[in-house]
Amino acid sequence: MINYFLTALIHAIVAFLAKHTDFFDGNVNAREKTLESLRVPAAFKHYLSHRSMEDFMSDLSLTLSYIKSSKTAEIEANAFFKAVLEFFTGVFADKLDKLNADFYSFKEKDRWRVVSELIKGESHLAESLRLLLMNYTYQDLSAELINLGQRVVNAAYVVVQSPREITPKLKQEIRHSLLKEQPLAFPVFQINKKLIGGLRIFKNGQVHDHSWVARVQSFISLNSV
Amino acid sequence: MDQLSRLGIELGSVFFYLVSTGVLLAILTHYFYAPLMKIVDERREKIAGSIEESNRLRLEFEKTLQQAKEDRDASEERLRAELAGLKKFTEEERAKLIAEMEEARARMLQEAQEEINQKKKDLLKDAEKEVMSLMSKIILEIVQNKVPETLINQSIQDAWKQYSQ
Repeated sequence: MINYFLTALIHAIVAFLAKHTDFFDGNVNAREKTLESLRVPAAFKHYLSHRSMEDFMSDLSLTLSYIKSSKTAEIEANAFFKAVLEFFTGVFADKLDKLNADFYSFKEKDRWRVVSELIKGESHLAESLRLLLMNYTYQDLSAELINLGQRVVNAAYVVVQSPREITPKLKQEIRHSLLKEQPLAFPVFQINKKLIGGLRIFKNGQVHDHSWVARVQSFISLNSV
Repeated sequence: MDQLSRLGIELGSVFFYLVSTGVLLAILTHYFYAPLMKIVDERREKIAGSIEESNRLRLEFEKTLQQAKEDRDASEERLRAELAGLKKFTEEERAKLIAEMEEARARMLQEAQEEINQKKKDLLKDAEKEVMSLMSKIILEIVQNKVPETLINQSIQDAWKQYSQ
């Protein structure tokens, strides 16, 4: 699913490194300065500024293996894929949260309009991200990112259920807060009308139930004692 | 002697008569009287023997009868004792059986009472469950259909604040 994105990313990085052949000779500060001209997400800039050339080449080889056959590539604890996760669970997730449930019922041109407003830029990288939002549902993307997270860092499985659609601002707040508790996890937002009100959060098998239906059940069970 | 002749008694005839009578007596005695006496003696002996035998048998019989009587008395006594023992045993068993039946009856009564109590409890519990279920339905109906959307949205925010704390 993210192969086109990875391909575009590697293309951008390799093109950059071709122009800056002595990139890896500099220290972190020098590299960060040089990276200002590279139009990639911050997570990848941070990765490049701290990685040695040999490790980068190894990561590059692994990424190409992943693109070729994602199931067999051994990406556990790999720094490059951690950066990929950091991007998708951070910046990309924020963009995804801004799409409401109605988005997927829009006509194609309307969806393009929304996506183009969310992700600006003419690069292949931007295009790949727009295509991800256009061609895959929220559930598809969530499943892919959760799977990636579990493979790379054994990230926690987090689900946030609410009786109604949560506002993008609150989604962002919830996501950032949960990311502090569970780094590189991709919390999934679900609508469950049976909750009636409040929230229910599942975190790696533990339930934090602040829903109204739980309170009603609790009230009834107290009265039955 | 003439007188005897006038009477017709002749001495020679008398003598002849006496001799012939004697001979007859001898012949009779030898051939008849002696065997007869022998037979009679034998018979007498036999009869005496039989009488003695019968006396002996009678004595023996009396002895046997006495023994049998004694045995019978002893058996009777023994049977009486056994009967008394059997009666006693029967009485004891009867008393034991009655006690066991009483115990079983009491136990059955208690079990039945416990079952009744349990059934009562279960019925009460079921009735309580039904009431709770009804309460739940009513409350859910109210909160699902009668609560404004703004309140629900606010509840999401409040729940998040509660979680964050």
